[in-house]
Amino acid sequence: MDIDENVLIYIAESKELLEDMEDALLQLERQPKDEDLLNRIFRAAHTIKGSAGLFGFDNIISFTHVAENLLDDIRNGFIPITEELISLLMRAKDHIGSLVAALEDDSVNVDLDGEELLGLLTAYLEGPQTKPKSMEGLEDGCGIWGESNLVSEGGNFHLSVRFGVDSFKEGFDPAAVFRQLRKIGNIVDASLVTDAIPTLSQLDAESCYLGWEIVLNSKADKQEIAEIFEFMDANVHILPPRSRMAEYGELIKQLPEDEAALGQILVDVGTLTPQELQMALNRQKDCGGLMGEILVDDKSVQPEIIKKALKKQEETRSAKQRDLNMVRVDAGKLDKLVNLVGELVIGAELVTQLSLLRQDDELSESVEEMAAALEEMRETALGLRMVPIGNTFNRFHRVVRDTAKEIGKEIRLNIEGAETELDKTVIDRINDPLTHLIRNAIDHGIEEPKERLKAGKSAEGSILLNAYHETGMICIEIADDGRGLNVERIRDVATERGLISDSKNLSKSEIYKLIFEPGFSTADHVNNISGRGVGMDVVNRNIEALRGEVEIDSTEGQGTRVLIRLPLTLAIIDGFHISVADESFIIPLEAVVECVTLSNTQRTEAQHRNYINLRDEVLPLIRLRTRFGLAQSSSDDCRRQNVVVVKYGNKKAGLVVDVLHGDAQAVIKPLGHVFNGLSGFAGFTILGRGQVALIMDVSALIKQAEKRKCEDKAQSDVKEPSMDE
Amino acid sequence: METEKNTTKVLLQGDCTIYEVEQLMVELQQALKSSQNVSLDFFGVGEVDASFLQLLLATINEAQDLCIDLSLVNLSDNVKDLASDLYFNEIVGIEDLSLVTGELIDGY
Repeated sequence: MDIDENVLIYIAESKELLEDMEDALLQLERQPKDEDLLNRIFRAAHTIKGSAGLFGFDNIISFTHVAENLLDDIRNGFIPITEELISLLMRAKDHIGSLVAALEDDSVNVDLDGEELLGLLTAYLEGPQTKPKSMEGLEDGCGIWGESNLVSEGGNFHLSVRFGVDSFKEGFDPAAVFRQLRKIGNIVDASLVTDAIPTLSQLDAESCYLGWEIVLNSKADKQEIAEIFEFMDANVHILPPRSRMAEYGELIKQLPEDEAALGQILVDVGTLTPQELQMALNRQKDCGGLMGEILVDDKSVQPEIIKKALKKQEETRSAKQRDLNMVRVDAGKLDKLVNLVGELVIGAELVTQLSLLRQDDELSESVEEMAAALEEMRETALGLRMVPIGNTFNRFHRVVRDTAKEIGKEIRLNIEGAETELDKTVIDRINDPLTHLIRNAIDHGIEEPKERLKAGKSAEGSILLNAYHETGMICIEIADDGRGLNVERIRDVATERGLISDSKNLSKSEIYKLIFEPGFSTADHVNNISGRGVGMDVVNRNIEALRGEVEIDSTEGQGTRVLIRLPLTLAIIDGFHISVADESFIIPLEAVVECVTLSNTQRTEAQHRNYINLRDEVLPLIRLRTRFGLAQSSSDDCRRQNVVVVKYGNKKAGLVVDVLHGDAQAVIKPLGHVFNGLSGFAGFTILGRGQVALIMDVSALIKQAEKRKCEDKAQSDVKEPSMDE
Repeated sequence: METEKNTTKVLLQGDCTIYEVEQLMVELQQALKSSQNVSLDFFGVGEVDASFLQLLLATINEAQDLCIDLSLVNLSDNVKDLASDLYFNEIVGIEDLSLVTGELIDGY
């Protein structure tokens, strides 16, 4: 399907807006009085509809138009926000999403007219609650805009009127003004201002000293009200209805003109009349000062409105600045850039080696400068693909809300570390595993409200999604405060299914890991959420494919915590270059804790056992020469042996190597299919001199060593130290 | 204007509008100077306007300042209606024959 580039931009932007809409809808359910959230939702719908108009996407326009009308009625307080309404708006959002998705994918199955949904939306619009009769509003207090209780169909304007001293003489009658005001609305209250009336001896009876503060409830706009005073010698200020301030603020935000002066913005939204603006401009001309301050001093405009107008000006400027500074780039182009930078890194490494051989100071200096710039370039290129995980996390609010409602549970999703960044490639691939884990937590982890209350917990369960960096890895934590894993039950089921023969020797964490076995499920029932035993093994496989690891910790009755550790990037790593029997290897630098040279005594001692005493700590050793089956040369005996202490999670080990070369940047290249069965390596890289170096997968090495240790233990009684810290 | 038993009575008659207020003010000032008890009788009042109500309010204030007992008598409906329409609450609240004093106004 060949799609116009502009349509692709529209699709991408609409998807972002819909994500924002969903996020705001979920928040609105919890904070129904938050007008900013409602405005965000309305803005998103409005923008999607407006942009659809540019391309003539009629089905999007017509559907979104109805949704927008409903949102407008909600904003005006005619329709109360309920759970049911949020669900309907969520469905409307999904439908708009499907309509947008269908633009790029013919196979998307969507009812283009959305008749059923349109019917539901229209029913809301036409329903009894939407008839904005003033008394209805007052009786049921349906308005969500807290300030609008006195407002019916229109709103309460506040008028400050001070008649000019010659008003009587010029034939103006305040009674006529009040009559006019009553014609266009209802005077809710008024107060005569008599401060200017002098004493009887100083009174000029034909002069007017009167003023009023009037609260007028009217559907008329400000201009209409202002026209009553049009030819009158009077100082009149009309403040828009308090209850509609939010709307004015929103209108200010929606004004497109960035050059619109503050005064003009306020006129455009009806907060100021042109006359008031002119008066303020005259004052500004005469005595200087900021327009906003003058308007507030004059009581023409409430300070809140000025703030919103200024915010609008600022936002327009920043948005324009931002638009100028932002470029949408195809992720594929970024991948290509990162690959090219990788090749450059390899080339630069070669140049560095050559310059060292030449022993040319000038050349070495230039190469160093180039290497420094390249290092920065590499970080920048990788940074381009780093995106915050928050967007992925936020999508789960909806999953939790809908799934929990479906099975009658009350669950709150808490998100932490949303700003944590990781490679887009990784982010794209963790969505499915996270969905499985969260749905499992909802279905199996969190108890029914009654059960929770019985257990002394709050009826509402909680799931925490947290992300943070730890030793060069990203950790994603999914924790619930539910019933926790039942070790006995898992053991029984595993035994029944023949997954384990003798479970007595398994540790708790080993038993937990059984839930990652294909087809494993302890659920007594199967529903459409989980329980079929399909999923957790997929989770494990997906995470391992990303060079990551899953850990489970659980306390019965208190909850379960699943921890996923993932590499930050899949492209280039900082590595530590070592050699064993003249073969080069790269250890990911983030896994390296320290390097130790074995003393002769330690070397002798270590020959007969697989651990050393490192500052009174037992450090298990992994001999890479033995592990990789590398031949031993005659000179090896004379060589010093070094230990690279590596750490993965809470496990520590010492890798026995021959030579430590130091830091090296490594562009990770995947191992070919021929090496599919080779474990312990994450890929390979090409070093400066064109040598191939295998990149070690520290976690796999440690796991293999542990496995081997268990096997050895079964055959002998020799007690080996654990790698656990 | 006539004085009886230490009370000065002002008989307001005919229209009381912008065209008459100048003259009315003079009468009211004289009345307040003549006695500590002043009564304004609205019985013969015709058309009224805001300028008259303003004058009336200034007179009430003056009486209050001078501690003069001022009473409004025979308040006609048109005066009451206009006072009500224009939120001259001091006037609207006055009952016929009631004595308007500084204390009463304060407590209104």
